[in-house]
Amino acid sequence: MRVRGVLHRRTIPVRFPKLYVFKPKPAGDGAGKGRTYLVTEETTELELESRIESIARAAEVAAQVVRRLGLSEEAAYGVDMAVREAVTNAVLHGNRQDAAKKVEVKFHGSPERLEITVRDRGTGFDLNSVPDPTDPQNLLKASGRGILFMRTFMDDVQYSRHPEGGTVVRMTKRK
Amino acid sequence: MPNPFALQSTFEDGFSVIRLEGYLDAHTAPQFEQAVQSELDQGRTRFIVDCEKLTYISSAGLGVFMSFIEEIREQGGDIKICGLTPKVRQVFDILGFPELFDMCANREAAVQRFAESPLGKGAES
Repeated sequence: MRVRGVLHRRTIPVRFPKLYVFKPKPAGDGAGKGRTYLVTEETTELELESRIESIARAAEVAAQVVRRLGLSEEAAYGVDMAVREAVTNAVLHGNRQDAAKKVEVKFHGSPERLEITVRDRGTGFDLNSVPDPTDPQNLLKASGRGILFMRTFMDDVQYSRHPEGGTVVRMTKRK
Repeated sequence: MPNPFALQSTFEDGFSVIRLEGYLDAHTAPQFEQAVQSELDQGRTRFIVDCEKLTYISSAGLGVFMSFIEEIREQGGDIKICGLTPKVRQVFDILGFPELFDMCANREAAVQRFAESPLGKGAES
């Protein structure tokens, strides 16, 4: 797994910060007053092996991101759930655990929302052909539950084909 | 360890009691699957799954319940689920589990439910 880390993080002073970092000035230069910053935007990218262990790794990084962005505990639980489901689908159904294929996860946080994209390198699937897992006829069928969970716990979930191949799921959680 | 999961399986008073703890997802679900299969291999079909210490369940974890329930009921048994925390219970509810499974407050209630309805919701539908 390769973590590209926080690619960029813009900070600006704000009046009512939700998440702030104190950076005290050196002694003799207004010592004790400190300065308040809000982390307004940041992007973190991960490149994961197509292994089942990658689920926990993606969830671990997601937890770090939601902490930095100051999301509520409830929102954090939903993000954790959705990330695990999306990466599970990418590893098992998209890349079919092919060691030659990677799963790319990108977290983009802004003052309004957290956007997460998960890209696999699989051949894709027809979203319309996935059965509704809540239909009593489909309750015992294995497919569709992960997608339902992502839609339940995130504010928006969109699927698309990447122009260079693979499926991209883009999930948004509003703050 | 980012994914703590523990499972304890015992056979008590005619019931296979499986206690789940921590995170049950695609990574750890095979352990749960093996525990259920191991009991079935011994001809035991009355399951109580104690989720009191379960902090998280994914669709893969729920899939284990789904994959066994028909076979277990065909053999005259059932799975009673007990001790769910509200957060985890919410996940079971999304998939309509209360329509399919008996969900009980605790192990005592699950044992009682077996006396009242040995085949659970399967017998009612």
